[in-house]
Amino acid sequence: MNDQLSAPSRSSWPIALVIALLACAGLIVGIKQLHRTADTTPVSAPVPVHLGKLTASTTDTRLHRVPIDHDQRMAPNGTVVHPRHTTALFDSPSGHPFAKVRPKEFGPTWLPVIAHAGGWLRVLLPSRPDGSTGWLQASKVRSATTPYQIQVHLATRTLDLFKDDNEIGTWSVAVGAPSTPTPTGRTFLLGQLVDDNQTFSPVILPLGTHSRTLDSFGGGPGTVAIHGWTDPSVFGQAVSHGCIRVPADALDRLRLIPLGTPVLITRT
Amino acid sequence: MQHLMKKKGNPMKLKRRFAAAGGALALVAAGASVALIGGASSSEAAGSPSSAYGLEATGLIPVQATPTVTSTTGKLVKDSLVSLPSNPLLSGGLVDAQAQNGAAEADVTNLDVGGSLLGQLTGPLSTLTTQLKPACTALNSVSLTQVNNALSGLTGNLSSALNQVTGSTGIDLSAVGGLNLNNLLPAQLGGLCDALSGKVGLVHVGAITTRCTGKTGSVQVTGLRLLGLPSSIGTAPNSSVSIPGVLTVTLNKQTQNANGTFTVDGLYVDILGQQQLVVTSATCGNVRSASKPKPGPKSQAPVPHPIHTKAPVTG
Repeated sequence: MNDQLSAPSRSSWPIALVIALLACAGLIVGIKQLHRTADTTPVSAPVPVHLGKLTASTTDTRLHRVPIDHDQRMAPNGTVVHPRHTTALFDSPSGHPFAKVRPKEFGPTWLPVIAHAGGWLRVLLPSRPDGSTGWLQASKVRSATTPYQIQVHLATRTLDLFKDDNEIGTWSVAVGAPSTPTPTGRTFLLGQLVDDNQTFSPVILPLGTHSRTLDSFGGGPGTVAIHGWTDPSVFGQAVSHGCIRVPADALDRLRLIPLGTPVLITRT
Repeated sequence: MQHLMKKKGNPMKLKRRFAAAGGALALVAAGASVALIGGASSSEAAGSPSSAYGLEATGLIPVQATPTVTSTTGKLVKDSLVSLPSNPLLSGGLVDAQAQNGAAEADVTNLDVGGSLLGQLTGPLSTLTTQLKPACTALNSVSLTQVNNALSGLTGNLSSALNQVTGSTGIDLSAVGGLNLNNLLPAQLGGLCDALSGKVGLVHVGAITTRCTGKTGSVQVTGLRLLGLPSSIGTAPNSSVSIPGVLTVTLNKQTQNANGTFTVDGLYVDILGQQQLVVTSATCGNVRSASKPKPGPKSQAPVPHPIHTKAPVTG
């Protein structure tokens, strides 16, 4: 056997031999342990994520142990991301997975980015509690920008549309009644849908936020939306159940705005 | 080696914990606190960045490189692993990694590899270790001849023991089966005894620092013990001991990479060609526009198309 050994190793080969033996033994024990746990733990994944066990972040779900957005008055910079596949949401970069996002909810899912760190992005989420956020891996998403921003002012009952920081439209709108106020904070255009059961608007733009006084409404989870209204006398009034009712010409403009576009709702 | 002990003072450092999930070797970063530093950016500059990591295993038991830092902007990036909770392969250890344009470094202190495995041996190999223990306890009172005779007896059992193991795991141990254990000196056997009793791991590293600067690399190591025995391996580039096909232990393994970067692996262990372990690795590269990373071009988000669905909103 010595003949096989290279010259530098000749003096220390017994050491190496014993290492080899016990390393093999260790290897075997390790592999046996691995086989025992293989059913529950993906060995090759750096972070074990069981997507099937994670709650999907949708307008219908309530998340737990979710990081809350504490910067509710600052406009995101317009970066929006679309998950290519169902992907996990983490409570911090390289942290614990607590939920997942799917590539489609109301059409394709686009979420606004509010922070980044290394290869991680923090995004606003459409779930309760309002202000839900999560971190996802930048490699799992398609990134794009929206030049638009929507501001809703509850005191003046107006909606302003900005493009590249320039105001390009302002409308008098209806906002939530005092008993069912429109929630303030930063949220985003979550989707665009046509619901044949709701005849008040040709198209509805659900947002990533919810009524804080109505846990459910009409069989839904209390999702706040921007939509039209058949009676123009409501515009400028605080009369809705939380939604933002806008004139037809505003709706025509807003339906062309990319999903994920930030919506800032303020008391002013 | 004093610098190896300086582990505090930079508040920008990422600190994480190493954990084994479900007893397997997947790594989980828990309780992460994050600071944006140096290369933290969603965009990448041109060129090949410097990078470093503390530990990596590939093969039958993979452990992803951790902690890993990559200086995508060229600025200094650091990461630390502050503790290694119980797992079957690695224990102890304080691991640092840092990288910037043209330089990278990885440090590991007080690391044991495979220590806890020895306490869990079962079956034929457990029998082998049990047979060695009397020789350990009698080390000071028996002659070298007696020790060697005892080891010869073990060797006879080795092939059949390994065959049984091979049958149950699918690992090819044929290269080990033909070896003998006869040439151990008492001092060496003493080290082996320490390993068997769990006092030391298969590999113990007191402190190892691996650095690269441009195209040069260096390794400083203290307290390197292989199976409890002081190592005789030098730290010149690509110093190694090997039993062909069975085991290779290399210090200061240097590699010139195809993309122009240069890598130094501090300690590289290959077992049976089926399991590899790297303790500290530093890769030197350079990225341009290090001070001003430009965001990559982004497309504008698409105009949405309404979908038909029933989704009550607040009205």
